Amino acid sequence: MRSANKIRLLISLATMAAVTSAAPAPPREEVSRDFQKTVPLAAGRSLRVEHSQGSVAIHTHAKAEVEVHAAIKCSSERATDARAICDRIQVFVDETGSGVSVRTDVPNGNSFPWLHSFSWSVDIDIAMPDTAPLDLRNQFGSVSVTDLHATANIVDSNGRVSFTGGRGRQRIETSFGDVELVRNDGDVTIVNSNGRVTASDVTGALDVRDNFGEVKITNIGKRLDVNAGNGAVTVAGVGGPAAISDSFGKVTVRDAKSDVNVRNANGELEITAVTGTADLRTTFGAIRFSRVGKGATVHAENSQVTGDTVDGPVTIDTTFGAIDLHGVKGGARLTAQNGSIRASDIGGEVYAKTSFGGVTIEDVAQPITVENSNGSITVRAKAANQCRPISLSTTFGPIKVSLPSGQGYDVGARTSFGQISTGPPITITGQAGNESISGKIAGGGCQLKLVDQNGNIDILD
Amino acid sequence: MIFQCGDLERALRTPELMPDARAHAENCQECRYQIYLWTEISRLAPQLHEEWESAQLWPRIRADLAAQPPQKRNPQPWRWVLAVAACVALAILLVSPRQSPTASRELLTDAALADVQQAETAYARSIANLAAAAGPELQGSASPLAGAYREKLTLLDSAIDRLKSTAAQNPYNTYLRTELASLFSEKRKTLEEWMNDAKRK
Repeated sequence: MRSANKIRLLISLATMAAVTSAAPAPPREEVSRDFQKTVPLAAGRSLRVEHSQGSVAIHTHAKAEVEVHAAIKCSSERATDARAICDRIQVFVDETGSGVSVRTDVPNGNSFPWLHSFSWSVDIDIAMPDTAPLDLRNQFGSVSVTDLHATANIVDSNGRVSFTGGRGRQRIETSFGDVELVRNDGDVTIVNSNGRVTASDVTGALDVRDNFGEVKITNIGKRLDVNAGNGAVTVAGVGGPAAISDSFGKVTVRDAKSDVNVRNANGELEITAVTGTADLRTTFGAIRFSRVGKGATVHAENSQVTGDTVDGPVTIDTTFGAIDLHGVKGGARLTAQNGSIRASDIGGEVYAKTSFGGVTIEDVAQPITVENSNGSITVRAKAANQCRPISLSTTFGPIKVSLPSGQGYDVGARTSFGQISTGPPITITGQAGNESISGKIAGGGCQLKLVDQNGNIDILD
Repeated sequence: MIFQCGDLERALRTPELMPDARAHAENCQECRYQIYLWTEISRLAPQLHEEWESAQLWPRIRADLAAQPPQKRNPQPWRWVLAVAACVALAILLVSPRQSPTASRELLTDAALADVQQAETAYARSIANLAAAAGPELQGSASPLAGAYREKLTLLDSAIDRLKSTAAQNPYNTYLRTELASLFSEKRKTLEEWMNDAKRK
């Protein structure tokens, strides 16, 4: 009997050994566990959620309770170990003085020291009363909140946050993850770092702070404040004043119903359809603006500036870049260094100053003053009902001025190393020579002062 | 000696064998678990030790032992039946075509993790090369652009370290691995952008 048993045992062990050695390495085992709990949440109380390494999805219902569902998944080399890990993960749903608290307790590196490798993920889905305030913290996982009609404070990191159909004041913060907000009836604050921010259809004010991420804003009812850096900012549709600061990224704004103030550095600006004023600053980036209601002020360095259709005054100063302005109902004060200036169809007084670039002023029926050096000046004045003085000076470049027919001017023109020629008849009242002339055109009445050095002066019809 | 699982019990009683046991446990999860349990018990047991006076205990035990009839050690054939059944069940379990566990979206398989780690290593190597090429000019430049790149790279390095340490504790978590890959990619892109910008200047 004994020997028979031994033989049986031997056969069994041999079979086992053979089978075991022939078998492939055990695959990784995965175990899942579901957690569900429902607790009441009275009106006026809030929900607090603390989670990590998994997603959190919040949606709302009309019931005065919080339904928590957690999908827990664990993996290890053996199913029993995976199960032990899943059992170790706790989801605490507690009723507290302020409302309901949902908290997950997940393993750490010391939880299962005998295991070489184990992993888990916990995805939480919560249905909560739509009018309960929400305080949510997560890390290493995405967050989505839908149809919450109360205040929310969401802080995530390394996770995408999506917020849709909200009502109330919302604050959303994350890093290394995108924020997408769609529809909120109320004010919103978004803080992000290294992630995109997209926000649309906010009836209240919107504050956005982001660094190293693109910002896209659409249809904001009230004030907009964007403080960005190292990423493009695009805004379409703002009901209130918009203040935007950025660096190393292009800023685009269109359809702003109030004032727009943009501070950029090392980035372009493109501003279109602003009902109020536009105050624009940048360096090392072109500025383009169009259809501005109440005037534009531009301060730039190393930037080309192009603007048109402004129902107010325009002030532009730039360096190492050209100015091109068209269709302004107010006056224009344009200063460039080392750049050309071109202005046309300006309704108010024009003052232009530059160096090392030509100046061209056309279709202006108001006083014109141009101060240039090392560049040409070309002016075509439009007929006006009253006297509109013109004063042009430059060096090392010609002056050409076309006067409206029948308009009377008192001409004082002088140059050096150049010639003065006149198209319209001029009545000499003082000096008359190749380099200097004083006289009246069409009976005089309005000052025409032309001063050049090393350049010709042409007075044209 | 060539240590085998069967030697573990002896090793736990013989401290000289423990280094071999630990070396063996490095590649044997079962033994690793047993050693862990033993270590934990050894650590916790002294704290649980209690003493109390019980003068009558031994006399009572002796009396009980004397009163008991000697036990018959009957052969128990059902034990062998169970052992053989267990062996057969185990053999069937091991040789039957086994479905690999369905890989979920949330957790990686071994093969996937190996691929990911390989990709991460390649990324890290490529980034190290780029950083070495970009480094001197990037660190030496006083331009605002270089400052912005330096700030971003510092931010990325800090995030990569944080994520690496989290992923080390939860290595098969798909989300963490994806995030880490995305940060590596972002860092490489940033370095490449800087080098292109620097070249243009």
